[in-house]
Amino acid sequence: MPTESNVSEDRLHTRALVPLLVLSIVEYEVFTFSKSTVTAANQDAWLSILIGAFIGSIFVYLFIKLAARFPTMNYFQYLQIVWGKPLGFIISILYLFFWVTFLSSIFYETVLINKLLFLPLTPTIVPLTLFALSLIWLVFYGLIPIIRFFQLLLPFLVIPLLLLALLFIVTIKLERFLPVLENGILPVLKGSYLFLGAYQGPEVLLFAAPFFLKIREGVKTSLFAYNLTVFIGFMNTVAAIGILGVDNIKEAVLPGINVVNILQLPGFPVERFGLLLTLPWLIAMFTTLAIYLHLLNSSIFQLFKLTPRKWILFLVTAIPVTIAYFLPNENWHEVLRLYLTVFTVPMVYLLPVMTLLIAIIRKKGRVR
Amino acid sequence: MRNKLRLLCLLPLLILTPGCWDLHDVNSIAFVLGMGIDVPSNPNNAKYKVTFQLAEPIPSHEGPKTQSFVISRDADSVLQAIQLAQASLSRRISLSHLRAVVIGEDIAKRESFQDLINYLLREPDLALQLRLVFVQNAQARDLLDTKEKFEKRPTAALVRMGCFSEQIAIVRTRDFLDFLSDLKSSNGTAYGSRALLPKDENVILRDGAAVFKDWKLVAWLNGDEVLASNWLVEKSQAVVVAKAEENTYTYEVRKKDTTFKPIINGGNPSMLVKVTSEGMVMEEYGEYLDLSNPENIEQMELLFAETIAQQVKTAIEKSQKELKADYLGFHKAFRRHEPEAFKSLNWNEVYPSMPIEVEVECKIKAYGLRK
Repeated sequence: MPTESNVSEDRLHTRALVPLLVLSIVEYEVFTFSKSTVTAANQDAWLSILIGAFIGSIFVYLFIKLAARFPTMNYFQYLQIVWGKPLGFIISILYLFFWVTFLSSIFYETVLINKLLFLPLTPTIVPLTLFALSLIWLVFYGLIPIIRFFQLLLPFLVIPLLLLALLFIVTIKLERFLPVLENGILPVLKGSYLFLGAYQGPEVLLFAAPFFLKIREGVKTSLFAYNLTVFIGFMNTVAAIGILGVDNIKEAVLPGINVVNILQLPGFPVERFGLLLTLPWLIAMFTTLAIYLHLLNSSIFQLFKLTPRKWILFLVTAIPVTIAYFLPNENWHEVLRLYLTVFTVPMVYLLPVMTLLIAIIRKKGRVR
Repeated sequence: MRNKLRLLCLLPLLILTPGCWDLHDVNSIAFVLGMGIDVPSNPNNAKYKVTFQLAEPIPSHEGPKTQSFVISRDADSVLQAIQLAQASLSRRISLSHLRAVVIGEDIAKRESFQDLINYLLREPDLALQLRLVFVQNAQARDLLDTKEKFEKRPTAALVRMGCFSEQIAIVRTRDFLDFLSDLKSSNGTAYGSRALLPKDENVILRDGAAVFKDWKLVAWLNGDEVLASNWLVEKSQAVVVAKAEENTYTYEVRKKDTTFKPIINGGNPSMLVKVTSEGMVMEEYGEYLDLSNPENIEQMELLFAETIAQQVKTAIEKSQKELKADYLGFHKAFRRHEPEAFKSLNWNEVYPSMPIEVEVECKIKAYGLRK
C-alpha cells in the first residue's frame, strides 16, 4: 500500500482546495438542496442561505487559521495537543461515529435514488457493492490521488449545475417568494442553522491541510470553494421555491428532480434536462463517499496506531454499507438525516473553532 | 501480471452484467402520452375509468395520420388501471412522456382532485410538465380519442394550445403543478382549464374555465366570464368590445397590469383593485371618429375603461356572491401585503361579503393603419 506521511514531497497547491471542498460538500443536497431549510423558513429560505453562507464563510476562514497553526499535522493529531490526550481522543472517537453515520446515510441515499430513478429492479446489493469496490480502489491510493481525481471531475459537477441555474432563471415566479419575512426572523435563523447543518465537508480542510503548500495562503481559495457550493445550493433553493412552491417542496421526497423535470424550453430539441442533475449527483455522491471513507480509514489507523492494511479498508467500508443495507425504510433515514443535520453544526463548525480558541489561549501551535 | 489477471476477471463482468435487470429498450416500451380519468362504466365494480393514449409507432416514410390509440380500464386506483392495461399490451407501459392529463366532469365533481392525481405525484418516471384540462359534457376518453386536424395526437394539440394561450383572453390556462399549488394555497379553491368537444366537429375547443372549491369541481365559466376574470389573474392579451348608443368599438389590449391593495378599516378588510391597460383601437362600427383628435381618444379611453370595469365587477360578483369561492387570487394579494392581518381572518367567511372597489385606467396607444 502506498505510504503516506504528513510531510510529503508531493504537496498540492492551494488551488486544489477548490475541487476538494466543492466535491466534499456537495452530495445529496443536489437533489434536496437542504429541504429542511425550506421546511423551517418557507419562502424565506433564500434569506436563511445567505445568512448561513456568511456564518459558514467565517468558520471556513477560522479553519484556515487553525490549520495554519499546525501546518504539518492533521486535525486529530493537534486535537490531542490542544485539548489534552484523553479529551482529544474522545473527540476523535465522536468524529469517527459521526462519519460512520454520515457514510451510512449517503450509501442509503445512493441506493434509494438509484432504485427510484435508474435501476428499480436491480437488487440493492449490486450497485452498493460496485460503489463500495470502486471507492476502496480509489481510497487505497491515499489523499493526494483522491484530490487529483477530484480535479478531473470538478467541471462535470459544476458546469451542469451552473447551466441549470441559468435555465431556472427563466421559469421562476417571483410572487412565490412573497410575503418576505411572513413569520418573522426566527424561522429564518432556524433555517440558517439547518442550512449549515446540511453542509458537511468544510472540516475536510483540517485533515487535508498538511498535504498543501502554504495552507495559510489558502483563505481566498477555500472561501471561493465554499461560496461556490453555497451558490449552487442557493440557486437550487430559489428555483425550487419559485417553480415548485413551498407547499410542494415540503411534500416532495426529491424536490430537485421535480424542479428539473418541469423545465421546458419550447422549440428546443431537448425536452428533459434530468441529466444535468443526475450526472452531478453521481459525481457528488462518489466523491463525498471517497473523501469521508479515506478520513475514516486513515483516522482509525492513526488513532489506534494500526499498520495500514488493505483488509482493514474493506472492513471499514463494510460497516456503513451494512448499516445502509439494513436500514428498514425511508422514515428511519429521514430521522437519521435530521440528527445528522442537527449535530453537524457542533461537530463540523463549532468544535474546530473552539479548538482554535483553546490553541490561542494555551499558545499551542505556530503563529506567524 | 497481477493487473492482467485482474483485467481478465473484470472484462467478463463488464460484458455480462450491464442491463441484466433494468434493460430499457425503446422498442419494447409503450409510451403513454395522455391520461384521462372518468367515472367508470359500472360504479359498483370500480372507482375510476382510466384512459391511456398510447403512441403508435409507425415507419417514418408513412404519411401523416393519427399516431396514437386509446385504451380504457375500470379500476379502483390509477396504478391498478395501469396493471390492467399492461395485461393487454405487448410492451411495457412508461409514463415518462406523459404530457396531458384530462379529467371528466363527473369524476371531478365526485372525487377530490388530490385523490385523482395522487399516483402522478409519486411516480418517479413522470415529469410534472403536464397540461391539465377538465372536460365538460363529455368524457376524458372522448377527448383523447379525437381525430385532431393539425396535430397527429390530441395531447400534442393540448400542449400546443397551451403555448399561445397568452394571446387568447377567453381561455384559462393553468398547468398541472400551478393548479395544484393554487389548490394547496387556498385549501381547495382554484380555477383551471376547460375543454369542450362540439358535436359533429372533430375539434377540441378550449375556452372557459373550471372552478374548484373544497378540491372538487363546482362550476363552469364560459368564455365571457373567463374574459372578465382574466383581468385579475392572467397576463394574457384581451379584446374589449364597447358599445356607445348605436356604435361599437373594439379595443385590443396589448399590455395590462392589475394591482391589488388590501385596506383594513377598523378591523374590516376591503380591497382596491387597479387595472391599467394599453392597447389599440382595432374596429369601429357606426360612427367613425377622427382618432387623431385627442378629445376623441380621451372619450374612447373612458368608454373602454367603463366597459372593463363592468367586466371586472361582474367577475368579482360571480366569485363572491354566486360561487362564494376566491379563485381570483384575492387571498394571495391580501396575504402578500398584510400577512399578520391575514392570519387572523377566516378568509372563506370574510371573502363573500368583502367590499372590493375597482378602478380602471385605459390608454389608447395606436389605432392600426387607419385613423
